Amino acid sequence: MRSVLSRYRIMCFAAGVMSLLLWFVELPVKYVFDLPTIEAKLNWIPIVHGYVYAIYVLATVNLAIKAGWRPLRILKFVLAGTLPIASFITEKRARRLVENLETK
Amino acid sequence: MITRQKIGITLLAIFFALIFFRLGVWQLDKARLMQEISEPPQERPLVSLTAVAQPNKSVDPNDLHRIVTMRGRYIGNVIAPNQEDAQGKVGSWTVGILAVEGSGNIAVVRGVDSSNPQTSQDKVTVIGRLLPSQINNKYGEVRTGYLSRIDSALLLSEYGSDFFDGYVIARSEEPDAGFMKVPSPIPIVQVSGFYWQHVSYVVVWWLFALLALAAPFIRSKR
Repeated sequence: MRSVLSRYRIMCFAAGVMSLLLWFVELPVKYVFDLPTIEAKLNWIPIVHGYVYAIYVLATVNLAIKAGWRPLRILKFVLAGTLPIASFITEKRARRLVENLETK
Repeated sequence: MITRQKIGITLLAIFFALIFFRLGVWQLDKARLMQEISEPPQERPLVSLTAVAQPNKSVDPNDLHRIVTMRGRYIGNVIAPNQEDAQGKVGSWTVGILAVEGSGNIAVVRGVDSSNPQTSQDKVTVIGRLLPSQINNKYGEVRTGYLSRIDSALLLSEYGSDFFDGYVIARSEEPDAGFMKVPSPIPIVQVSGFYWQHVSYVVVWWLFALLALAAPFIRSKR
């Protein structure tokens, strides 16, 4: 269980960082400031974000099945990976849930 | 035991799985389109202007940016200031009004502004790239002999109503009038997004589809 949680936490951090870069760096450069030269240098952000999020989803589902979560909770945790800060919040929540499960 | 609730949940799962799968296919189509558009464009064979365009009719968008040839006489010249070429160089262009043999008139960008462009009465054969009329004004002043944008609509009152849609940037004139030609390479379509970005979205959507199908089988610990 600990290793599954560790993998989930790593992916939370990765997905959170990529979401922050996407929402607060790449998207403003592309749609607000319209800087094609800089945008070309940042085009790796949405590409990496897509793949990191896919691995985050797998890590979330893996943890959810081991911890016996209901489908609605799984959905909430999966969607948290799309928002910049949400994955950091769900990482803390997941740690508490697993700790509660282990003490029972 | 199969209950109505289980049937309902299964059908719901299949419904969402199909939606997510279709979204993945949508992103896959976008990725393929990205690949097609990114390929360098091929120059099409030279064609007569009258084969792809007629006076007073819109040019088929598929025929724009082709290299065309036409023969006729120049009936006038105007200057189009503040024009930017494909290499980003800004300058004034000499635009000739060519009366195409047996057809209408067309604006031809003969070259970079000549201080005294000659309107010869000789017939001339022009080869150049056919472009759509410009939409935005490049020059704000209203002045005789000057064009605020290269658009046949601005030439109708002085040169008559039988104008071809669009204009041509000449690559060559025979006989040559000695103009410094304006470069007109084949345009490259710039699109936002990248092939591997869309492929990553395909992976995510199809992953969601698998999860939707697996959801009814996930047992929760209560």
